[in-house]
Amino acid sequence: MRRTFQAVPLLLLISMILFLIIHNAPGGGLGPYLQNPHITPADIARLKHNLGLDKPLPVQYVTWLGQVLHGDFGYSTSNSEPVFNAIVERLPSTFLLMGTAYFIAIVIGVSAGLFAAVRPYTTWDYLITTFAFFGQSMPVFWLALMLQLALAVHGIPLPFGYLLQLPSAEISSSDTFSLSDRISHLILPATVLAFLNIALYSRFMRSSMLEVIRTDYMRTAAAKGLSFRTILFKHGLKNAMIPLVTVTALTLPALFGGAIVTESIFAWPGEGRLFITALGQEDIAILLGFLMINACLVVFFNLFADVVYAWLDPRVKYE
Amino acid sequence: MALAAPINQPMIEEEAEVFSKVTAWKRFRRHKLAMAGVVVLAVMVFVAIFAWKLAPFDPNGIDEVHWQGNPVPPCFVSAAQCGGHFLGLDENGRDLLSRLMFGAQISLTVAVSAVIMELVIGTLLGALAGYYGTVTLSWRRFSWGLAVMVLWLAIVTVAGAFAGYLIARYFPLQLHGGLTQLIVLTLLGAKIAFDVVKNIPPKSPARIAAVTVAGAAAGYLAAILLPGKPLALDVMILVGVLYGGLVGFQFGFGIQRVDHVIMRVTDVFLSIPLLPLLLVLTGIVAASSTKAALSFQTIVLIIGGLSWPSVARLVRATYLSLREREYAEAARAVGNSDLRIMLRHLLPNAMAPITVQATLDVANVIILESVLSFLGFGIQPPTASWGSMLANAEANLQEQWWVAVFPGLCILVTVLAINFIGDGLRDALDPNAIK
Repeated sequence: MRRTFQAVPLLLLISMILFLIIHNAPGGGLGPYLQNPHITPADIARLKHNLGLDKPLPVQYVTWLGQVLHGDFGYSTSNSEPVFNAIVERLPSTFLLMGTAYFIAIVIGVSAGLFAAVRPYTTWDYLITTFAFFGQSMPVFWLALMLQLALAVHGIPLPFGYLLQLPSAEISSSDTFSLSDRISHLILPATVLAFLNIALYSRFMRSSMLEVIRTDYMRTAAAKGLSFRTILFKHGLKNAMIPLVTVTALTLPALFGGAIVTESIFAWPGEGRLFITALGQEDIAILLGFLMINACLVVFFNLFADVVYAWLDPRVKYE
Repeated sequence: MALAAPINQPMIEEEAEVFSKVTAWKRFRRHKLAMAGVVVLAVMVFVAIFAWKLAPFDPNGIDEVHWQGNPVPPCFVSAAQCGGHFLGLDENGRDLLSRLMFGAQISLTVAVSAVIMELVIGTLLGALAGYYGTVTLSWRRFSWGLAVMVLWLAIVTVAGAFAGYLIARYFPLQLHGGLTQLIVLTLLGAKIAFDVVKNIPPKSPARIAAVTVAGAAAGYLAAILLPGKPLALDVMILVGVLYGGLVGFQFGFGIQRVDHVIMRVTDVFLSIPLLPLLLVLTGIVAASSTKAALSFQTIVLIIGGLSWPSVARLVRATYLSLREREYAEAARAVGNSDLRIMLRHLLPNAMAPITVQATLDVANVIILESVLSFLGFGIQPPTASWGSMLANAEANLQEQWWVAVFPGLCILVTVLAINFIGDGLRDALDPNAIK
């Protein structure tokens, strides 16, 4: 409970710093307008006034905080749309991508780590460990390029990007929905996004499981004559998963940031693309909204990881 | 039964040998992958340093003879077509191998410089926080302190900024001095303010008033003195926040709690995701004038300036335990100054985890820089870095696959080598490593 209260000043401080950084942008968020020769200084002044950019910075900050509390995060400086709408509109497609990647990463990472842990220091173990190193060292965008190249060379027609170029809000209700089409579009970006985390989770799972295997209760279970399967899954996996839950919770917000690269390569109409577009247009309101939401995710999942950890592992107690 | 083997293994591999540099090196040498990493990295560094000597062609020069707008493939694909360019020409007709060599120079220098910067800031702050940090932390007291701090920041910021604003409005003393005067005057002002505040009993209303006035004055000074910014409220607020935070902390916790200031700042920066923030900052710099403003130095400053919190946290944790050791106590008893103990006695003993972290961070920064450059917000063309070479590779992926393959391969191999070295170092330097 205390931790929750502590998160509030932290988020306030974060918002203050982000706001200061972003509002010191030289164009003041109107860069593209300033470069347009057809827009007169009077227009700029009017625009500034309409967007409230002519007020002193603390006033702007307080106004913005109020907007955040009302749930609209201010208005985009490039098309005056409420930032919150622009972000929410793209959430389904980003969540689809993130969720799939997360699922793939957990399933493959955990099974690979488990597989390596029950046969430590064998060829299989070394193979998986080395693969994990590759996964951690791989520049993700290059992996995407190479997959693209490999598929093109072998003539496999896996489409790149979203087939439905409509706003993602319409996807779920669209009558052109087809599962196979969705999967074929999803598989590449999700794999690329999951790649780093597969490596991370498998390494973590391996060491966590190895630690559990050496414990007394595992020895006891083996001495009782329980079957290998029961020992491994009921006694071993359950305990080895506890630290993994924390790690997966802590790395989830990173997927949100990692989506920037993946989405811009695969033309996926999600938050990452929104961010890159806003960056090109110097749309400070959207950039601020994205950073703030991402920071909130980090803070929330940190808190979440602590709470879940204490709940799963009775040995851990917070004052 | 497959489970029997691991269960029967010893719980901890006992290390009988005394920990020393020699045994660490012995253990490192046993790590085959790490040794391979050292060799690979040595080659890369050698190539990077002597790129100007080794590169067969000018990295930015276009080969007019062979480049007719048609792709020129590497020699091992078609010896007749390659025209002496071993890895072919890139999408603009420049020699790919030479660009890779000069790219190694940029990519590695960016990574190493950024990590050095990160280390200096992170170690300094982490050491301060760890050395002066409190041993046992009462959670209740801590959250109260935090509340006091936030309240304090709010008071000083708002009061300082608006007082400054009012003064500047009715007494427009726009001096427009240079930056040097600003710094000198601010430091002088801070010194006087501290001396005044020091003599007022803590936690008294007089102290609050004095600190608030000092914050307002500092904000006002900064605002009138900063060139070109006659009434800059944002400058006032920045100064107010910094000043208020500093003095407010002294009020709330006393100087012993410098730990908390540093760790709160660290928390803030650890909570802001790095890649988007980097992109926003480089984007701002790029927009400020031309894209050419995104020089190599700027990128180092931005990456190094934002990635120190992880180092600070690590160093703090190490220092917290190190300062309790007997030799630290002995050094204190003999009368060494705090600074000397921190640097001469504790730092060498904290080097092991710092080295490991720094090694792994070099690998991370190489990838970060390549992502930034790939997205167009890092090293700008025509300068070659491994990431910027990939920026245009996507467009003609099929006709000129070599343009996309080789720079990425360089990144992968180098980062892999560094990660292996880091892993080897971790095993070698940690006396109780359980593998």
